[in-house]
Amino acid sequence: MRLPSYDEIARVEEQLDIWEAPFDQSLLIAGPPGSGKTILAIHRAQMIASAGTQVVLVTFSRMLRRLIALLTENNVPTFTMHQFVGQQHYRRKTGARGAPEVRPLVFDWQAMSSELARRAVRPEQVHIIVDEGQDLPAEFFRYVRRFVARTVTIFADEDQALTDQRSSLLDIKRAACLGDPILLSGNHRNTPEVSRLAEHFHTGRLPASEVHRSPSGERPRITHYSTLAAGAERIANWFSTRGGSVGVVVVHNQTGRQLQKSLRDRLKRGRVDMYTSDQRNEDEIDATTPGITILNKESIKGQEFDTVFIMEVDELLPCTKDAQRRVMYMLCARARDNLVLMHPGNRLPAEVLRSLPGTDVLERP
Amino acid sequence: MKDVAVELPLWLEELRRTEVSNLVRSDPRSSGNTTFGLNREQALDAISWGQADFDAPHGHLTADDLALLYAYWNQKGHLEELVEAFRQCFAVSNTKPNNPIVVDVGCGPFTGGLALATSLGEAPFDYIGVDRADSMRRLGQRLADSALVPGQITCIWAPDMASVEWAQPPRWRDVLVIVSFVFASPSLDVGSMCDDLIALLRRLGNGSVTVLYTNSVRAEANCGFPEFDTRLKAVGFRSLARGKGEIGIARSGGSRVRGLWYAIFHRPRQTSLSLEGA
Repeated sequence: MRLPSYDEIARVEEQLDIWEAPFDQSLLIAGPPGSGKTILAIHRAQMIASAGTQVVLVTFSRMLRRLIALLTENNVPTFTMHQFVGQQHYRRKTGARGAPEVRPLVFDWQAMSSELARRAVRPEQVHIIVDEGQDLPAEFFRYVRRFVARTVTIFADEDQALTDQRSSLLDIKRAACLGDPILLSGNHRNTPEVSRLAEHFHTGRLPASEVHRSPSGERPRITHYSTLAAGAERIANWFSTRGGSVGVVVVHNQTGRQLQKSLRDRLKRGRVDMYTSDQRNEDEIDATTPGITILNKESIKGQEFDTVFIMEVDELLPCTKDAQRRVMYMLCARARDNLVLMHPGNRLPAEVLRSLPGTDVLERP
Repeated sequence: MKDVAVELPLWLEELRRTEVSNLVRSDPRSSGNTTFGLNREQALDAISWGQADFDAPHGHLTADDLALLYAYWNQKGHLEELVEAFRQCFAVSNTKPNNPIVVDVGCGPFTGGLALATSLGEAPFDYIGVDRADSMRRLGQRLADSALVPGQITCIWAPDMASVEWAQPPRWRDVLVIVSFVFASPSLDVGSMCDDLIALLRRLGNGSVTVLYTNSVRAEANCGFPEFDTRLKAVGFRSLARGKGEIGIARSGGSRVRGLWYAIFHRPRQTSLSLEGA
């Protein structure tokens, strides 16, 4: 990912409208993959900060927080929701560490709200900007508006939400007391070929994006690998030949770890990183530089790569539920130029092939 | 509108000759001055001047005969009106739509599609033809399938707007809605039609929408227009042009002028998503 200049943004009128929206105006913005939500979130944060207002960026995942930190060179305070709520609880309440949870990683919003209300905590002159808002609970937005910030800007795409426990745009609108969302229409990331495959999985009410890039002539493809070593060989050969930033999606972290070792054994040069939430090693990874980054489907949200390999697609296909389609839609849209779906085994099952678009969209062996 | 005679392109004249006129003229019931055994007045009476139930056989005429008679006697004038209307409509909006979706309400035998193909040439568009009469849709599909029709037109046919099988996700494509001589029908429920149209537009996406309304100049034929106007404005349309116009048409007896009532509505792209009404 590269941060575009103002001139580049100014050419895209819809983005300029958001960038130049009054700093004290709360906004809800919805846009498809590649529409520039993260970039706009960063630019709006920087503009508001330069005007002297305190601003905080809040994201869904640690990897996206890391990406934003890289793009802003750490000049905008950026937190995951869990970091932010924990920090706020400490600062705004009694100094007690650790916000109350009903179970690990699930906050007890009711307990927090009762405590803050009892202490008559009021929202402050701070602007909270949220990226990937669809993956945060509606209670978070209610909490922010009631106790934390007078102004919020929330970017979300409910069609990319990972779980059925997501916040819809309507949930966010109501919880954060916002108007209807402004829609972004353009896709500035994917080639038309990649976008067509992503759109095959698109479900939801947001209009399909208008792709602004020119065709590359390279269609996404699906292939199979007999062993993980054979799959690693294919990825290593690709990287040795084509270079660039390569994202590899795994369903299971164990697969990712084996793949990382196998790739490191094969590649003499180039980085092969893997992020897992238990290692919390995101600050050691710069996924914007050439190299291979292995991520699971949760941590790849908000990222983009020149090439994406989606491993273990046998566990993602065929999509029978909207939640599965949203995952595939989001994963496919991570690829700027090239996309490869990797199926384990010696053949591609007929039911998987039947669920996929024709060879004009997806190449098959 | 202007009084210079509208000319239909050669491909369209040839299409009408091969797929309509020749079929009517070569029918054994037709003779030198009759079509299917009916003189002009009887034929127009059989199709109730375009307002008949085209699926209900009339005397010795089948439903398909009625649709063909309509195309023979009525369609050319409507084609001329729409070709001229599109020319002016695109002049008002100062551009032609790019790969639009066309919704032809009360489409008859592909009339709006043929007129738009005349205006857009080889440019592609998706065409949704809505007509309650099976016979009209059958004839429309036959005309649309002809190799004489230029461009790449993908057609969907449906008896009503709620039944349109639109499989694509909502997009940002421009939509052109044709409502031509629909309001002349005494059975039309304008409110229901508007509800169905608005619901269909929501399914198509958030692109700009242009609505072209044409009709007879007779006041009673336009009595539903005020409600149509109100309903469209309530969902963000604004009126770009309206009024009584005239177009010149050429016939074997010489050119003459025909009046029509027209209106153009436009709604820009919907860059805000209405959540509560979804």
